[in-house]
Amino acid sequence: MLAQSAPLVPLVTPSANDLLDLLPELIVGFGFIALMLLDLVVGRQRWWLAVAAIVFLAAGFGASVWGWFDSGNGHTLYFGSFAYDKFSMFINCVLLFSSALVILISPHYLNRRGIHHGEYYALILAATLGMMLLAGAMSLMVIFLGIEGLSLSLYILSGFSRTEERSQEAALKYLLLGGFASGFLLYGMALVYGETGHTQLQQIGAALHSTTQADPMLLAGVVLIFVGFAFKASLVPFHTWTPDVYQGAPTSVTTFMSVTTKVAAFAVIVRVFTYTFVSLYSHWEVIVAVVAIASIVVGNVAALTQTHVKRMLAYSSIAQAGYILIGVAVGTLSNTSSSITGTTGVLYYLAAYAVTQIGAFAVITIMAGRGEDLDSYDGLRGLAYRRPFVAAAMGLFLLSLGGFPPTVGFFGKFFVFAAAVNANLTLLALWGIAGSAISVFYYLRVALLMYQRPKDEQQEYPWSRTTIAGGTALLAAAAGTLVFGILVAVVFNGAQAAQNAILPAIASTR
Amino acid sequence: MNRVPWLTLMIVLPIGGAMLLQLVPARMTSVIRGVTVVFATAVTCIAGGLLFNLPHMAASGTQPLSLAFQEQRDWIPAISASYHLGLDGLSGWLVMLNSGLFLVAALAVSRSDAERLRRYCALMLVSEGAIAGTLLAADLLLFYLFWEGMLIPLYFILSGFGGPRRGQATLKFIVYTIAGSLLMLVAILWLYFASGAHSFDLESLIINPPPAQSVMVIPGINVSTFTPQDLVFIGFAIAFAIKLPLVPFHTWLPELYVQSPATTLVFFAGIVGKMGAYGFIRYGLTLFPSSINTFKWLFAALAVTGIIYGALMALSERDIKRILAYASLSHLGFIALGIFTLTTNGISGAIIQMVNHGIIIAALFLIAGYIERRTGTRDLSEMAGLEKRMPWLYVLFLVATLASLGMPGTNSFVGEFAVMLGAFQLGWPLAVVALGGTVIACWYMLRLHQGLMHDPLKPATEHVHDIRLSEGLVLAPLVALIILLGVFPKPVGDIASPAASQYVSLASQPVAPPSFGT
Amino acid sequence: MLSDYAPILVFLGFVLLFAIGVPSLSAALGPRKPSPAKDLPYESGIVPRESARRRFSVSFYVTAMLFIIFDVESIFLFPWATIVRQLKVFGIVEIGIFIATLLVGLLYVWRKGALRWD
Repeated sequence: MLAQSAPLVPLVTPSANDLLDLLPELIVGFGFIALMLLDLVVGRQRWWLAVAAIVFLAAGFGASVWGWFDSGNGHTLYFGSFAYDKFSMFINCVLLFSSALVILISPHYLNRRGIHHGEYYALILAATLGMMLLAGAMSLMVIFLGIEGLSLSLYILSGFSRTEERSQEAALKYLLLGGFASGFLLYGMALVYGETGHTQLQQIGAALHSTTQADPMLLAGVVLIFVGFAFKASLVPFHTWTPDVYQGAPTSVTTFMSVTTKVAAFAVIVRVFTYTFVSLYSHWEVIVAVVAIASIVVGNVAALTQTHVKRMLAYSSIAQAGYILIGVAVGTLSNTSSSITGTTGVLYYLAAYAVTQIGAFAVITIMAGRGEDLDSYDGLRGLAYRRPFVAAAMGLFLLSLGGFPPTVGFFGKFFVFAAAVNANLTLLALWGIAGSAISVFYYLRVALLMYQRPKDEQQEYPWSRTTIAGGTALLAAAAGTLVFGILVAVVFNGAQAAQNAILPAIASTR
Repeated sequence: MNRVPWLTLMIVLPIGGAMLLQLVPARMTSVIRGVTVVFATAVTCIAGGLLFNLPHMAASGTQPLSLAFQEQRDWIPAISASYHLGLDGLSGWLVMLNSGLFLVAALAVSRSDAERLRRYCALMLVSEGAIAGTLLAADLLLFYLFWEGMLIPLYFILSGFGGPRRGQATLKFIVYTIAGSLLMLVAILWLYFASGAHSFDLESLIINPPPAQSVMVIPGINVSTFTPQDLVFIGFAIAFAIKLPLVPFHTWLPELYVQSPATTLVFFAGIVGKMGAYGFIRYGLTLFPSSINTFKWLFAALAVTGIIYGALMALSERDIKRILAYASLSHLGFIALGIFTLTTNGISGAIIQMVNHGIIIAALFLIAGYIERRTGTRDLSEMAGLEKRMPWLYVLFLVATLASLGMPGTNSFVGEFAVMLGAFQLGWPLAVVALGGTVIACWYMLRLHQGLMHDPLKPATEHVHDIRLSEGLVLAPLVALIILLGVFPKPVGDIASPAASQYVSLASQPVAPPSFGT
Repeated sequence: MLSDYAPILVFLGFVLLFAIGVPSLSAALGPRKPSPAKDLPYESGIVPRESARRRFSVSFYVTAMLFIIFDVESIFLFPWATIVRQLKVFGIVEIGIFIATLLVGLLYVWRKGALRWD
């Protein structure tokens, strides 16, 4: 179906309701601008910026919670280009919570590394805004806007340590490869637009549904879009930047990007693939499944040989992305009436991953030395003797990443694998399980190191103190990891409600 | 019914105790030990009380497992997973064994590593709670939660305390176990989706089993394989076989036992080694009646192989802990053989033997630990004549040795006898080979005992002292139980037999005959 | 399904063919007579006086980028101006927000000293 030269449409301006329903995004966007101005007046009292950032994020969180209850079955804003549904609110909550925790651990870490500049907070909010746009995007244009919004901020943030070569290298690598990925994404969007004549997901879905045979160009577009997203989610084979960037960037930035970028990327992957390209499922299923398996295998095997925690977590995050992608590969398949579906699995996993990964990275920021990160395995040895609570928390996060019950990480894996079994993709679940079994090696290795007696020369290891803010972030992450691993129903019901209300609804495209 | 959530208490009390320990300063070793012993005693008292009352708790009749003291609460209602606990004759004895062995371990814990005593005690209590949870859970998801959660404290105990190569040995054990239990996770998920009940509850899965499915045929070469149920059963079976361990999956066991300290082995060999057997009875027999009948010969053969293999290895070793490890492997083979006879005799024998073996192996490893601490070696060839230096230990060791080789009058005679009866019902060749295992058991246990105790003294054993009173008081109850349960085995049998016949009837319930071909 | 991708394969084949074929063809067929004059940067014959790799002050780049940002602003203003009457108040408010955002940017670079030349 080709786009016809449309007649000049009468101008319709968006209603005030559209603006009101965009409240979470508006708050964060306003916060971004306000923080830039605030930076000009606070001088050296930069912790004010952190406080302000948290206030804005909390307000956005509140607005998202309100939106969760207000959105009901969901509707679109701005003529179908943005979603106001429980799905985007769920993602918003995860994003804003994660960002707030990152802000909590930042001031101390940045001071310690000597890179405490005011722009940091504005950029974090800008990136968060981009991710929120991505979470609610219902149009290819908004998706691109969101992706670029988050990427541009992250390019700067990953090079935030201006005098350090590794940080510069990370920024450059991320920029170049990110530019490539944006190109792929844009090309794919162009092809999909050319084939369907629409940029809005709802209409694309409807157009795809009415066609019986998939055109090669359309499929090429779908694949290219997936490549663009896969890069942001650091899935194999588009992962090569991940370890270097994660290691080179300041740890608080790594924390931020490893968690929130993935959450946003998977939100948009689910919306676009599972629900918009649903009628092409048989075409993209194999690609997604193969990428998932490749990510699990490569991520886990590469993580085995690492000697630095940041790098190990980078590879492990690739593997984690692979597990999450299993939930996408399941699509909307469900052999039974059970409520465990791919999307609920993905949502649960994202929430689980967010609290756990932030916690694990927060520990590294707490251990930061003056001007450098002390994240080698040797440096971790004996942490439990000097910092019993930090070590216990880190142990908890590692166990959660490894998928041990009763932590939230176990249920993330559980729901994703369950969705795969439910869709008769048991083989895919078995791949995931093989990966989990491998991952136990390197997670437990680090956990054990912390409980080994420190070597003598390590007595003077320059670990910094845990600040109140950092401790709060650590405590929140640990509590989330443990409590949601026991009171599973809270998050699961939320994920289920989010899935039921997601736009574009499959039924409406028929 | 009972308002006090006794079963929850048995899980929560030890874990709460572990948290309480964190508040005690690490220097105050006596307080730490005291708190640990108090909590372990409390749980033991609860377990004892429940076990005593168990025969009086009439089964409700409608439920297939006749669980007593049940507790059921919603956990994840959306996927009908519930917090469902229950106690029956099988889990009742194992919970008793669990709490008893942890009490013994708490009493026996050595104060030599004072710096890390608190951590050890806390981890021990957490393990106790997790194991109790595994035994009490009547919901597959909850069971899995505890089953794998149990590995966390065990990992830190095994890898943090013991011989120099403990790290390697522990990692092997953990990765083995995780690989098995993850397979079980997929199997659980398959059951959940295939069963009409869409529930993780054990009893509703027994009532609503997945519809019998036809044998899968490999396309092209037309070879019939197994039904999907069979594959799912294998998923469970591998997890349990690794934990038990059955013979091809046993390689983690000897090195780990050698590297671990005696206190750890009291509960690790004593109760953790029984979890696989427990799983086979509780889940294998009830959920896969047709599959277990298909595979019983295979597993019985593996069990017998384990008996003989363990016995022969024990005969060829000189390291006393290694001998005991292989002896343990051999005895676990008896338990497995009892289960796979699928007869009331065999299974009640297996249940009795689980308890007995737990007591005996705890005593033997404690003794081995005492000897090693005094002589500084585990090599049998460097030791002799300890009878002259350690008369008290000699007596206690003698009883444990005799029990280990199944002497009438000691507890394990009863269990092994019942297992043998079951084995004869299944097929006499199995029983005959297994009997060969008991003959070799006499050989290696007496070789161990004589080698250590008799003959003139050697340099390593020249200057050792007898066990202290505190050590004797730890050992004495175990040895007393060995004799008591040997001459008066009725209470164990009275509780174990109904449970055994219940599981046997579940395993032999008429199932729709599998439709062959496609 | 997989055969649907066949055109892409053909396309890729042509791309490769051209990418390798054309340069190698010209290398094989074209005559080559190198001389020192041909290696000079300017083929017009002017002899360069110094190296082209001179260092510029970073202020040039900053100014250039700032120029582009505010230049793009005006690109948005032109289409807006053609329909501003139909958009009514909404149009005024929207462009107000847009310009205000840019103004914040200007304020920021000003206060950060990016506009100072030294």
